[in-house]
Amino acid sequence: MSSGASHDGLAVCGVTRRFPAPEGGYVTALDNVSLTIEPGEFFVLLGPSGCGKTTLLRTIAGLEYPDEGEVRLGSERLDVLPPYRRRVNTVFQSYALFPHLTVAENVSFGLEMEGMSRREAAPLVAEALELVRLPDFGRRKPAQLSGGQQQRVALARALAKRPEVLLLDEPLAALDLKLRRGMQTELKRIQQTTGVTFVFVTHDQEEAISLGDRLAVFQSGTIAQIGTPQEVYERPASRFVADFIGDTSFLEAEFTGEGYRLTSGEVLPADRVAGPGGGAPGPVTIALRPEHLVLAAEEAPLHGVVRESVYVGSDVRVGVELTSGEQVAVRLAVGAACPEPGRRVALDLLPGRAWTVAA
Amino acid sequence: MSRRGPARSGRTSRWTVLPGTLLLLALVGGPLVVVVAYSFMSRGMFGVGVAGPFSLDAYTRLLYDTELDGSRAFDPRYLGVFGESVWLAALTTVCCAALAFPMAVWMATRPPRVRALLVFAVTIPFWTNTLVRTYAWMLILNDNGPVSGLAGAPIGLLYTPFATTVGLVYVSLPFMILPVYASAEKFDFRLAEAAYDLGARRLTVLRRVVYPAVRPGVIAGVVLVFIPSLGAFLQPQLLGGGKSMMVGNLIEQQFGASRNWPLGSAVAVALLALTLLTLMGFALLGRRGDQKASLL
Repeated sequence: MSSGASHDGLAVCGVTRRFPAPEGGYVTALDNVSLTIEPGEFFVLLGPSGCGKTTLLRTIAGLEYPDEGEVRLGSERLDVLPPYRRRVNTVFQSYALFPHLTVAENVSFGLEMEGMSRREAAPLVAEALELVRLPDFGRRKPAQLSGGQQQRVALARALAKRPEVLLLDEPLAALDLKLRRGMQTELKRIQQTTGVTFVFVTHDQEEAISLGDRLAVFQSGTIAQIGTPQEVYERPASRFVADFIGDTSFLEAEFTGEGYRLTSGEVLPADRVAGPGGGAPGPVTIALRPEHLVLAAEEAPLHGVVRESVYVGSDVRVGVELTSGEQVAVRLAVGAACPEPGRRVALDLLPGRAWTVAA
Repeated sequence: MSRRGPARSGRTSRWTVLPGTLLLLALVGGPLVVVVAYSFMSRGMFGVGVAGPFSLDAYTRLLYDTELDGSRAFDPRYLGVFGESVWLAALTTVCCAALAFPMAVWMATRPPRVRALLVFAVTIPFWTNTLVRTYAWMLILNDNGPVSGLAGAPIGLLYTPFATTVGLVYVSLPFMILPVYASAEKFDFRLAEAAYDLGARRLTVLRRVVYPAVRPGVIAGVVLVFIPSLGAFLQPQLLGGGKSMMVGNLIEQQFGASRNWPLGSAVAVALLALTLLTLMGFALLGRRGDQKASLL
């Protein structure tokens, strides 16, 4: 089942797409978007709803056409081809299984469009159903399957065509948490066995981080950052990215050369914060994650009052209001001494973890 | 009364359907009994009404011609009228389906407000009497009418089977568009996108994905167009000029000019039988679709 990645990657170059707005004028869904996806890569398009990620996916599929820019697969220009001429297939959010056809007929459909007879397609259909672990479901109708099973059939139907690139439009959004976890593992396995390039759209940052080889974070029609999950999580390019990915608190500060002076007058030593722009003194925004903070002795640089303490199972999340009035979250292990609301605490930052971001 | 339990919802409804049932029995069943009874009787004095006793003459007359000497010969003329009717009704149905399917799918893909307006537009012809609308077609098609005017010379469109078919298609089209549209409106057009994505072209998408979903509407439309067309009487009379006779005209003739009520009744019963057979055929067709859906 390894169609392999024979192309030289999928390139999106300066794609712009505008839609007429209901109240007149235009809404720019994609604004001069460029990115390159490597062959065999699991690439995630991440962003809040309405940020353009689905429009980009549909542009690659051929269900939308760009107003400007082009899409290339290797040396071939895709954006001028109709969808049926592209070696690209989609797994739709709604699954879009044909209700009047059986599971096997659904999977066979795309192969028959290539001119195969149903009989010729049968072994490929069986192989695809085997791949998604539904080998005995061929004669059922989509309505007789659970959501997770329908999802697998949609995957098998798209993969049976052996596409160069598989597009997945929020495929797990309709599944419950446990099923979603299971399918994430499955998707990763299938992507690795087939070697097909996956372009995966989601608004779930956790899903994006656990699945993607690389991800692109979208912000209202533009790309805010492209990078590996680790880069995007630990070195967010902007306040938007830091805020969208993970649980982030922000501190406004003034870099003085030796340290970061908060609005409360407290000073964070320079080694506590990493990030671009280090050197030139001036105002900065520091992005903090709960795991960057620890409870510390009185002489620690930050002080505040515990506002809430929430048990979340794996750990305890403590909300602290700093002297500056800014709120931060701290993650504590269950069983550790847990301060009750109202208590004054001192906090310290693990060195080099917090990150300065552009506003 | 005191021993009756609490009224169940099903019990009260039995009496509420009584007036309607009685009315149906009297107004549909009654005339039907009369027609069937007449068809088994003989012509009355001077052809007015019927006279007993029981006789199969009317049905025999449908198939055989009795010579003066009493010998019988097969006579295909009445069968021919039935054949002509089935042919014209089938042609009308096919034309309506071919026109209505793209129309209905197009309507279903418009924004909701435009859709409501379009459905309204389709029903506009119902506001005018069919007779008036048929006369309008006579004006359009006659040799001094706009069609001949456009052609530059009289082309003799009126009083032809073509004119009959045009009239039938015109009158029947809304009955095809509306049920097909009702099905198409429920169609999830994301399925069409999925089909494109899987490599299907436009026509294949229509044939293999859209049509199966819209099929129940098409079957309903076919029934609603074919059966009334089979018994049509106005259009062959006014537009066909009585040259091509349909079953409806034959019945009218037997009750009118020919004064043979038993034969008219027999033709009516035969038409009813043909209609029932057609309906059963469509029911079977529909059920086969369902069975396929539930078995596989």
